[in-house]
Amino acid sequence: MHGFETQIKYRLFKTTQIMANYAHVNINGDKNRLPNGFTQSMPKNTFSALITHQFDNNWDASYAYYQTGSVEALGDGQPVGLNRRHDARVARKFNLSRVNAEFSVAVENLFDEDYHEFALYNTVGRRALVNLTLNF
Amino acid sequence: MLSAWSAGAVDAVDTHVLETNPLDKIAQQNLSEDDYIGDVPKVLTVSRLAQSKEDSPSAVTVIDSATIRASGIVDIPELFRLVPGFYVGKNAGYIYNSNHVVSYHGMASAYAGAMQVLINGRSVYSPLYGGINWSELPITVDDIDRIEITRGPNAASYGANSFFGVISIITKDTKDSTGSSVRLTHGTGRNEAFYRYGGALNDVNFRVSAGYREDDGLDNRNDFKRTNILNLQADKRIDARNEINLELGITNGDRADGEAARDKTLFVPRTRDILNHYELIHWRHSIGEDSDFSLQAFHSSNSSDDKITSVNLRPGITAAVFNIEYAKEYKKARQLGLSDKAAKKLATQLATPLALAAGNSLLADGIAIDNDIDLERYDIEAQHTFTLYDNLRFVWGGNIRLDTTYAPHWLGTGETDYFNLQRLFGHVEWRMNDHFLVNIGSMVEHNSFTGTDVSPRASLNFKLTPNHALRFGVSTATRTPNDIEEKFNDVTVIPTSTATTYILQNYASQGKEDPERIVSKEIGYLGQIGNLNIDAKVFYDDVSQILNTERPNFALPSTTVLLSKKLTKKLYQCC
Repeated sequence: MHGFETQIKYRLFKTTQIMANYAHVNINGDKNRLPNGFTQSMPKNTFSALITHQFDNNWDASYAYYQTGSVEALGDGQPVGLNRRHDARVARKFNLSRVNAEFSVAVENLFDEDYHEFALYNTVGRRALVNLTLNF
Repeated sequence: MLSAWSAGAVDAVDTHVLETNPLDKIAQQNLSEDDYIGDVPKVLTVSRLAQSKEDSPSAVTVIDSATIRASGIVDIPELFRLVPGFYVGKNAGYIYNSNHVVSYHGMASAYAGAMQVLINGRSVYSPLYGGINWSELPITVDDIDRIEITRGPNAASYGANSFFGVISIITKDTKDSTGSSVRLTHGTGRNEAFYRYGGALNDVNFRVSAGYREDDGLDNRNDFKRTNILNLQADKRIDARNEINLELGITNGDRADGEAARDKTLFVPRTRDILNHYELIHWRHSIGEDSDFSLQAFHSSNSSDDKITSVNLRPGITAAVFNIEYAKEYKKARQLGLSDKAAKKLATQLATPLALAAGNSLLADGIAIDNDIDLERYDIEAQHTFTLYDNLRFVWGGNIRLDTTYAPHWLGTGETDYFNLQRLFGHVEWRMNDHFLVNIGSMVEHNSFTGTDVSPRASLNFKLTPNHALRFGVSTATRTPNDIEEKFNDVTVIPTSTATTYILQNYASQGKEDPERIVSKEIGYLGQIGNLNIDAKVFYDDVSQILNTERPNFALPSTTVLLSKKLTKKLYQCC
């Protein structure tokens, strides 16, 4: 296995940050002596990014992007193709008397790109979550 | 300037801590985010010495609570999508484990067992298959202060299974989570409610968390999860030099397993119960200004109650035996000179009664599979950290562990299996001058399966300028076979009223495998240019003695019929 990987963090403005990750991994070996699919058991290229922005003291939002190349996991895994996922989150902080509260909405797989992960029987769809946190 | 990279900045952290209390010097696991300077926090777990990232012997990524919050992620393994070189897959597997798969640089599988995962220093990988039941961890993303991920072998610090890397999860300090907190989440196939209370009672700081999570899993899969979690963490400062930490946790609930598209016969869709708990105590003692000692002991227990009844096997057995007998009789008939049509007719006539008799000979329609699994881990670890000179720091220690496994279906016995492990580790950090730093460490361990293994590591860290640093590292690791790889003995026999034995499947391991080995070489770069922080590395990982699963020659007694040729496997070694 050989390759290159990096993580960069960039503060675009005082209120905006970007984090990006990239890896390129090659697996080589004698296929006759290795378990089936061994050399495909890691995507050649993976990329992810997280952008966060603070609008003011109460509002903030983030966007994440994940891209995973085609892969065939060992054992129960099956060949699955490249997939892309977009996540977004918006959060609002507020106070209720002595309670510090935060309300957030997060959507995973924003564009509902039904894709397969690990095996063809795993179809990942869109998921939305609302969250309320109260600290007192 | 990247202030956390300068020796002055690091010293500032230590000075602040020392001024507070001598014991805090070893309480570095409790450093809050305020103690981090810039984007590069001090890492605590890579070498077991608190080091800045550019001094670390391996590449390391830190996911802090702010990143966790911003990501919106609610499942811990999903966080590792934000770590370069990691592969994460949802709900892998369908027999005993429909959890996430998390792997680094390869060998991804539902039962990926090449990663060490620690929660506050407690190793949580399964002794049965070496992987992590992520959904059963007794914490939530909200409990996490930060996660340090060593990107590369780290057996020198944490032993076998730290093969491709180490994920070290550190929970929030009890002092940083006082008061009440309620967290409610509702969404697509997901609901959870958690309550946390933190406070102080006399000189004991404590935090109690309790909650319930329901996850309906993926569409068209039988993979829902219902989980109750209770967790207690308490820290008692005995005096200026001694502190005791106590942790208790329990997780129970239901897990849906089975995937009809892959297994229509045995591991059919069903629901099993889980019950896990752990207890941990940690004593930290400051011997002197530059010498600290800690002793940690924990016990963990993971149980899965899973009694399976297969589908009605009579039609399947009848068909399987018919195919076997038909092929045999057809071949004989053709050898006697019969035409194809006549041979087929004769084979059908002879095979049919035998097949029907086989189906009728079953004592019951289906078979019962005892897939109960009970795993226990007892672990004691001592560690001594000291500074010999201003530029020479040491950490060394030892660890003993006992893993017990009860898994009658997988190990072919109703007896509990025992795995013993003893370890000695040591690491030295030598700061040669302002530019060069050397890390050298090793682990020596002895275990019940493969005997004695040694895993050394070394790095040379070169700080070109305060904002640019290089690391040249070599690290080795072994991966001891897990119970499945070492003692797999699954013979699924179908009871009959005749002398003939039908074996539905037979998996077996040769046992006593040598461990897998990895030698990883890397050149890393850390830099800051204006507002841009860069962490990059090129690597070459040489993995050898890979455990493989292929079908070997397998001799059956004459009265035994193996119903599926593809279902006999035996582990052997290659490469």
